[in-house]
Amino acid sequence: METILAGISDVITLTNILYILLGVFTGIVAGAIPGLSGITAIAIAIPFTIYLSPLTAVAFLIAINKGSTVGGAISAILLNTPGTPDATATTFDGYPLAKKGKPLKALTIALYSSVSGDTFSDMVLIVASASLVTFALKMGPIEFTAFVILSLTIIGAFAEDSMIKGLIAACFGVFLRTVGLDPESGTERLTFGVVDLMGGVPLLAVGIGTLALGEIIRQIEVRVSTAGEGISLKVSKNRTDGHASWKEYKRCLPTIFRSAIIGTFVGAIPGLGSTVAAFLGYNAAKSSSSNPEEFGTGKLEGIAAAEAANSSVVGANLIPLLLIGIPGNVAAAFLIGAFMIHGITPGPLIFESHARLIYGLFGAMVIANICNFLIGNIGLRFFALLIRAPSTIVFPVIVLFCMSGTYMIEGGLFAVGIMLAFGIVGYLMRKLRFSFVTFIIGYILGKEFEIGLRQTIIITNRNPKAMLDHPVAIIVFLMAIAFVGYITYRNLKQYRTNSKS
Amino acid sequence: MKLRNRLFEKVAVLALVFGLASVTITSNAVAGFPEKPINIWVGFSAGGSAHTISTLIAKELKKTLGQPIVVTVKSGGAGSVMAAQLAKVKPDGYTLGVAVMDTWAFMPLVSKKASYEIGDFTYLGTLTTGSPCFYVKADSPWKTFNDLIESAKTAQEPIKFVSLAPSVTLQFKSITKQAGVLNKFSIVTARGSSRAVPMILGGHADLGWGGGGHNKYVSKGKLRNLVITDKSHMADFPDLPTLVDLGYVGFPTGFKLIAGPKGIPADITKVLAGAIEKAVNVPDVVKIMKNFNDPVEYNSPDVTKKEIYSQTDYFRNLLAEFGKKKKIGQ
Repeated sequence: METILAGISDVITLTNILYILLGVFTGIVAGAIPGLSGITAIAIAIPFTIYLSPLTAVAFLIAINKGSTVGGAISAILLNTPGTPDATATTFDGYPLAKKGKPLKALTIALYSSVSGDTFSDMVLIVASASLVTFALKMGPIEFTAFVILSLTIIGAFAEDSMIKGLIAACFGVFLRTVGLDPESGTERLTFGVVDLMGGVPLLAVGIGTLALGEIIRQIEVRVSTAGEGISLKVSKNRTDGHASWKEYKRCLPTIFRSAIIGTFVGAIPGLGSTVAAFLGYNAAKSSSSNPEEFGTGKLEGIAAAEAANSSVVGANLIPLLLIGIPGNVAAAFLIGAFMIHGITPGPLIFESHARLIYGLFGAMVIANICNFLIGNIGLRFFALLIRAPSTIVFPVIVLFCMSGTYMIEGGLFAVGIMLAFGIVGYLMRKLRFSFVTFIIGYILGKEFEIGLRQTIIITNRNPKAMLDHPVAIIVFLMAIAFVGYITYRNLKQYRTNSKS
Repeated sequence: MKLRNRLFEKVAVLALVFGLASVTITSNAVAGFPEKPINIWVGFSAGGSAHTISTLIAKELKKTLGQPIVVTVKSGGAGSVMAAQLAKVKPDGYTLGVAVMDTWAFMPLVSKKASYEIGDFTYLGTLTTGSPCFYVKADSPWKTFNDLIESAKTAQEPIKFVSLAPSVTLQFKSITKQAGVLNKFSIVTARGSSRAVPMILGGHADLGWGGGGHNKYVSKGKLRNLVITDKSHMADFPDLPTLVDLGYVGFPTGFKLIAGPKGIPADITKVLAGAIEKAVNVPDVVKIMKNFNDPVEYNSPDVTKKEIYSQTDYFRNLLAEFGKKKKIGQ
């Protein structure tokens, strides 16, 4: 208890709070600009934190991470271009609502849900993490592989119109990730002698190209073919449309709560990350709603579901990061580096060796949530001004950020070329109605999936009976199979009723 | 290269505008070399140990050389993506690269199309050395490396070893072959010590190898080191034997080092090497790298070059013995 109080009092200093404010602000700005993202901001900020105290440094970086989840929703809602993959699900209802003239309502519900989800997951982290060490260590390669298969199945199944197309896109993503050096033997695969491909097709180039640039190309096409409809949003003058009311927030609470639980669970499993959570949360809200057909037309619950889920990953992601030292996503990988610079090795021992710092960090996370809420509230109004800017200005600026962001993170013009190429791939996938989202998730999880699967095969010594020692993995595998069965049955039934009528 | 530099300047200005980064131009530039900013390319991803040492020495080099040092990440292929590009730049001392011994001594041997060779570089010095060991979980029945080998001889099920890279796997095979227990192990590969340690702690595998990141767990009594796979003993664990002590041959270390393209003029090499030696030995740098379990160990350009050539000979022999064509990981 004393350690907890000491830790929390460590964080309440003017310097820390100023750094947290700065971090949240930087995060929101970086998250809002497609092509920049919180990851870019963290990557740039790390060298500047080397000479700060460990607590201030890590609090600053986590504040950036938190801010960027709120910022990500801004461009998703206003421009239909998610800056990061995890804001993609937010576009489904966020953009339609903005188009109806209620962008500020969409933005405020996104902010409220985001902060609520984040707070929930922080609470779980703070209360439960110390007792989760043993459980976390039991999650070996076999269990992890099972979870990846389950999440790819679920996301593939909910993809736009057909499960087969969704799964094809996911497999394409996994396949593309095999380019580069074989993780075990170091031999080259599918590099065609191109040196730049030895490290694989650069992750962020693919992400930014498919998600942001692909959408820009599609919108340009829409503008050309409909003589300028594009993203020029008309803002409703009605006052009640300018914000989300307490009543509306209360209506969304069950959805937020469900998404927060999903997001926290997903965040606690390393490697799945916030994109997966956002889709699971969105689909869960859709399938448990009494009017699922309203989703995708600008439903508040849709925005709340996606935002609460992707934000609640941030806190829970620190569970595997702190307890077993495995980063849940790219941002978390940077955080591990920041911890290490200050002599803190995340892992099963962190609560023994750095308890005070960890409780200080928890305090910082709560403060960051409050800052997020305050800055977000002011920032949203500022960002809503963006929609007044003509798309002849907005599009080129975004394309520039996509290019410079890719160059900065991946470090080279080669990556920029890849990003441009995947802009076209993303555009074609949208036109052919292949889910670009399942593709990206397949791509993100691909490498861990391959390594996990190969480890599984070696660890079980190619003997299926060894699986019996891993009940969790068996249950998860069965869930994946049951899920495919259920979707197939549902689609068949729908097909029959359609062909009858 | 000019285009790339120019674009980088643009990006830097952009970052400045957003208040996210700043590139300051110092006024006390010395006559002669260097007259413009120096690029350091890092062959490993941001936030890791190679990136950290590069960022740290960049700060110190700027003080000594009076020019900004621009650190750029070019990760992938155990540093070979960076090295392949580095081999092709102009040898004027304005572009340098940081990666590990494997990048230069091992990767060109296994990659059929690697577009660089060990002789394509000017080696400027080693920066850090890890503290590599084989380790097991603290409650493991194996107290020493010999216990492990004895128990492997009679083992019914294969013992699961977590390797971190193809070169480690190859060296592990050499050691187990010398002990006569080569086929008693199954080898899985994990990406880095941060992934391997939980696999051992969670009981998913039996034996691990780490470059130093695992030593915190040893100090806390969660893991146990069996043997050092380096030439010298460790200050923190003075009683721990090395593989050489036990009569084995091989398993050289994983130095991080800095190099430039072949043909950097001798006087520039001298300026750079001097500045690098000074930079790595700054107390703050030494302290931070100790936290990373990747302690600073500077060696001169000549020693570095000799070491790297002897390592590549060693790897060439191993590859001849265990075969390039056979899959290393199985």
